[in-house]
Amino acid sequence: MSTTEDKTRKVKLVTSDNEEFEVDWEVATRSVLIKHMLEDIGESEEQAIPLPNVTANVLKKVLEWCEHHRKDPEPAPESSDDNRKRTLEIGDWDAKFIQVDQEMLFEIILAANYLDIKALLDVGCKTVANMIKGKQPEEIRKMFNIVNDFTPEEEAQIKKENEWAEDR
Amino acid sequence: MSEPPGRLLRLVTGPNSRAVGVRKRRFYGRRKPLGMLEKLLSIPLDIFFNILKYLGPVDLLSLARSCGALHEVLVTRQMKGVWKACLDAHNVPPLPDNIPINEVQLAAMLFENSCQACGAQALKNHFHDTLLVRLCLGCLEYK
Repeated sequence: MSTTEDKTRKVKLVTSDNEEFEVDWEVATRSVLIKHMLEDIGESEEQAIPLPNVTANVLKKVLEWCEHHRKDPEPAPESSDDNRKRTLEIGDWDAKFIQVDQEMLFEIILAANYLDIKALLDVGCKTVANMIKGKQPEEIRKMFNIVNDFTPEEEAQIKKENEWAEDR
Repeated sequence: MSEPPGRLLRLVTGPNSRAVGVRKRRFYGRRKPLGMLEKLLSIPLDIFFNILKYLGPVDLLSLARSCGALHEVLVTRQMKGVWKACLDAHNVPPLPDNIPINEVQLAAMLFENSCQACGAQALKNHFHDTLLVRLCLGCLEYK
């Protein structure tokens, strides 16, 4: 699909709060959703693509990522048994990029999921996993501002039993 | 993972799945603000899975023990596949059918280090052969 024409082609995106972004084809098509939409509407139109699930401030951030990763090769299809080597490593640029407040972090994850940008979704998920990893329940509560609604007895009991919740 | 992910997903993310029901119940009946947890639980379950797959057994246990809502989402039969995959990633063979414990209990037995009877910390591995729990020497001998 990547003809020379595509390199110069611009794509217009419109966010839920009605802001318009004009980006390079190569940047926009990091998103599989947008790529498919562009294929559907064909080459002829200058039509703007509506993204009703993404706000301007989030799209800006997502496009910053797409811009930096515009030349990345297509990700290899996930092999089914890479279960065992799940690394939490994130590239330096990505690690810096994803240093945002939690609100934005979850917004980016949701946007990456909606726009179908797998590599960015992975960066977000790994970041959340990193925040959880190696932490005690109390530390997890602090981290995510979770209210502990267990009584001390309940807490001791679930720790001891580990029964499926529906059996308790 | 023994179940194909598609089937597992439908099981857990379908509109009538238990997890969804549990979440709804808990969210509507709650007065305290959930803070960031609301965000964590409002993400689609398949993304939540995507996060869980990077976590070790101890992390899953800690997450499940942080609050009631997360416990009810994580420690359910629908999540069996997640626990299985996690144990598998840590080189634990699957539980045979005739063993009366679940994957969560297996994870707690193998990967934590406190006595499951009295809570004493930092044990070497003393397992009770028939009860399938990890006990400190005192509890083990007391039976």
